Amino acid sequence: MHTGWFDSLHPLTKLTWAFSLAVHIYMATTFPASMLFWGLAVLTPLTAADPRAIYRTLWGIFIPVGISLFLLQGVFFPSDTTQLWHIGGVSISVSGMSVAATALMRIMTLGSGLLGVVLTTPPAHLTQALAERGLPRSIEYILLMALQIIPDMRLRAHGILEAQQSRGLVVDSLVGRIGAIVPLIGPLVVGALIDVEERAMSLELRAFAHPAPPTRMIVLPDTRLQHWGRTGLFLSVAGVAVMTAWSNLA
Amino acid sequence: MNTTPVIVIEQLRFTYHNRSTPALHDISMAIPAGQCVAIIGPAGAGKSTLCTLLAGFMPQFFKGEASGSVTVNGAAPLQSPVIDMLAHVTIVLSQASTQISGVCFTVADEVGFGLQNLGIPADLIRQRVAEALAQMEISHLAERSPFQLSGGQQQRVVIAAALAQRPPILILDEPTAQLDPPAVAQLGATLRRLAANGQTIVVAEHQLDWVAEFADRVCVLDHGRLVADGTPGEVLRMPASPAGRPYALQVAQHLASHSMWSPQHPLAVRADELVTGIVATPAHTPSTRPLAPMPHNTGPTLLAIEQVAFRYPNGVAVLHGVSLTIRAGERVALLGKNGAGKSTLLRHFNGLLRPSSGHVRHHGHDIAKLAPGRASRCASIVFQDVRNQLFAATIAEEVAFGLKLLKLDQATIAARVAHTLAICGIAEWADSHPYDIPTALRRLVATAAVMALESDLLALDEPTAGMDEAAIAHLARAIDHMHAQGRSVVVVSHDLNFCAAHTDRVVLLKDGRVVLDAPWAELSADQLHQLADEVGLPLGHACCAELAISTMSPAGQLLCSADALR
Repeated sequence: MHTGWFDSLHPLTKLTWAFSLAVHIYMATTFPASMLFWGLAVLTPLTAADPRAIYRTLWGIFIPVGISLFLLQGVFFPSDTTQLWHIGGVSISVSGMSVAATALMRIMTLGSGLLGVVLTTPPAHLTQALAERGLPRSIEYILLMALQIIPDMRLRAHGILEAQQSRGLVVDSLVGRIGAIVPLIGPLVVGALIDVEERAMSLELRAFAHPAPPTRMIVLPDTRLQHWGRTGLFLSVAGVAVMTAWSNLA
Repeated sequence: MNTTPVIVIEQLRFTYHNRSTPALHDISMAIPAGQCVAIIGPAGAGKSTLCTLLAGFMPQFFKGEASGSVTVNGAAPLQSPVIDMLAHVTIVLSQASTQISGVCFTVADEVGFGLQNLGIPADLIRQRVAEALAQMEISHLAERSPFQLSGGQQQRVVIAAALAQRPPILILDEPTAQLDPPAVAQLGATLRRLAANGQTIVVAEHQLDWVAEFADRVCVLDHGRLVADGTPGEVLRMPASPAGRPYALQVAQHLASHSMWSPQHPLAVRADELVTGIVATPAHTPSTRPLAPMPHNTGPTLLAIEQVAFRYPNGVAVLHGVSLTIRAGERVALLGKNGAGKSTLLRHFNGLLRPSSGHVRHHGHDIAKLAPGRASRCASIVFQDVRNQLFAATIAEEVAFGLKLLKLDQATIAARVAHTLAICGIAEWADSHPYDIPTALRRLVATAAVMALESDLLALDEPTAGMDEAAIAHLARAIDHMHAQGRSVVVVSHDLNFCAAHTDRVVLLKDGRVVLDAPWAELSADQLHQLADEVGLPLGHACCAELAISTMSPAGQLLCSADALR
C-alpha cells in the first residue's frame, strides 16, 4: 500500500503540527500571517498518500460553512460604511467580508489539520501513541470503543427494526413511530446491558486487567528529527502565546 | 496420553446468589492432560456454569456460594481471580459478538489483543497470531474489521484469540452454534490436534454428532448433577439420555427397526460407524415394508420470486435473477455458504428489501407495493439474533406484541398466546422474563412470538443454533403444526439433519443464484455431489453417497426418510 510522507509521520508529530498551526493562526495579528498559516494547513494534505480524500471531505465541510459565513458577516456586519455591493435593500460590507475571511481561514486551518490527522492515522495508532506517552489504558479503551460502538449500534438498530417489522411493526406514520419507540429501544437497551456483562467477561479473559505493561504488535516509527520537530513546534506555540500575552499587557 | 489429572473436581456444589437451587450438585471428576472432554446435557443443566467456574469466574465475577474443591492445572479457580487463572485455562463463551473486544480495528489485532495485554514480545505475538489465524482458516480475514464479519467468522476469530493465548487447558462453551458444517469439522480436527500436543480440551456442546466425532470422553449433566461419564459410545448409546441422541444413533435405530441393522453390530453414534454398520448388515437387506412415495405438493403458489436481482447501495450485487416458487403448506430448506445470498433473499419475502429488478409476489400481488411491516401478514421472519426481537417484560407479553399490532381482541390474543406457547413447549415460562430462561429456549420464545401471527409463511434463520434435543423437538412440533395448517415454512440453517427431517425440499443458493431446487427424497447423485461440495449432506444422504445407493431406492428411502432423523 502506498504511504505518503504525511501518513508516515508519527501520530504525535501530525497532532502537534495541526495543533501548532491552529494556535498560530488564532494568535496571528495580520492578514498575511493568517494567510501563511492557512496556506500551510491547506497544502499539508498534498503530502499525504490520498490528498483527494482529504480535500473532498474538506470542501464538503467548508464550502457550505464559508458561504454561510460570508453571507452572514457580509450582510449583517455592523458599523461599517464601506459597501462592496448594494442590491435592493441588502448591503455587503468590506469589513464583514474581512471578518468572514479571517474566521473561515481559522476554522479551515483547524479543520484541515485535524482532518489530515484523522484521515491519515488509524485510530488505534493515535491512541497507542498517546498511551505510550502516559494516557491511561482505560481512557484508551473508552476512546477506541466509542469509535467502534457507533457503527455497531447502527447495525444493531437496523437489525432490531427489521426484526420488529417482520412481526408487523409499521413505522410509516407519526403514530407508528411513537408506538415503535418501546419495541425498538427496548432490545437495544437490554442487548447493550447484556453485552456489557459478557464483554467484561471477555476483557477479563483477554488479560485486560493484567498488571504488566502491555506490549504492542505495531511499533510506531519515530525519529530523532520528528522528536526535535515536535519540540520546536511546542516552543514556537509557547513563544507565540507569551508574545501575544505580552503585547496584550503592553 | 499423560494420565496425570490436570482438572480435579471433588464434591463441587455451586449456588448462584439469590437462587435456592444449586446450579451444580456434588460433582466429582478428574480430567487428565491431553484429553478432549465433552460436557453435554439439556438446556439449563449447568454446563455453562461448570465451564465458567473452571475458568475462575465463580464466585468472584458471578456471586454465589461454592463448596467442595476444584484444581485446574494446580491452581484453585474458586479462590483465584480470572487474571490469575489465565496462565492455566481460558474459555471461549457462546456468544461471539460480545467477545469481540471492541478496541481492535482488524482481526489480527483482535487475535493478538490478549497477548499484548499479557506483555508478550511483539515478534512472538505476530507469530502466534499468524498460527492461530491459520488454525482457524481465517488468515484471509486478518485485515478485516471484526465487527464486519458474519457470526460464524466472529466465532472463529474469538476461538483463534483463545488459541493464540496457548493455555494448557482450553474450554469452549457452545463453539459450534454459529459455524457451518465444514467449519465444525475443521474445529474438531483442530481440537484433536491440540489435544495430541498435550492441551486439555473441555467443550460444552449440544451437537452430539460432532461430540461423537471428536471427544475422548463425554460427561452428561442434568439438573446440575453428573449423571453419566464415559466414552462417547458408552454415554451416547445410553437409553433415555437427558442429553438426547446423536442423529447417527437415531438413523441406526431407525434402520434396526426396519431390520436393516445387524443385531450383532453395536448401534452407530458416528457417521463412519453408520456406514460400517450398513455394510456389515447382510446384503443391505432392503426394507420389508416399502415406503410410500413422497407426495408432491400441488397446493396453490403462495410466494413467487421472479427473476429477482438485488444490489446493495454500496454497489455489491448479491442476488442475480433468482426465481423460486413456494407453495402453500410447503416446507423448504434454503441452504448455501456464508455470503451466498440466503439472508438477502429472505428479506425479500416480506418487503424488508426491494428487488433491484424482478418481482416478489404473494398470491399474485407484488409485495413491493406494501410498506415494510405490512407484508408481515404474508411472510414473517425470525432472525438469527433473537436479542434484536425480545423486549417485553414477560414471555406472554412478548408473544402478544405482534397480535396487538394486528388489533385483535383480547380474548383472541389470550387464546393464541396460550396455544402458541403450548405448541412451542414454553407455556411454563409464560410469566418469566425472556432473559431469565436458558439461552436455548429464548429462540423458541422468538419463534413463538412470530408464529402466533399466523402468517402464510414463516421463515426461520438458523432456528436450531444452540438448542438441545428437547428444544429442537418443540421447534419441530411447531413447524409440523404450521404445515398441518397449510402454512409454509422456510428454514435457513447449517443443521442439515434438521433440514432433511423437517423440510420437504432443498433450495441451494450459490453466489446469488439458485443452483439446485429439488425434493430431499429425489436428489440425484449429481445433485448430492453438488450439495456436498457447497454445504455438506445430511447423514442419510451422506451414507447413500458413500455407499453409492440411490436416494430413491428402498434402502435410500429408508436412510433419507424424515422419520430416520426424528
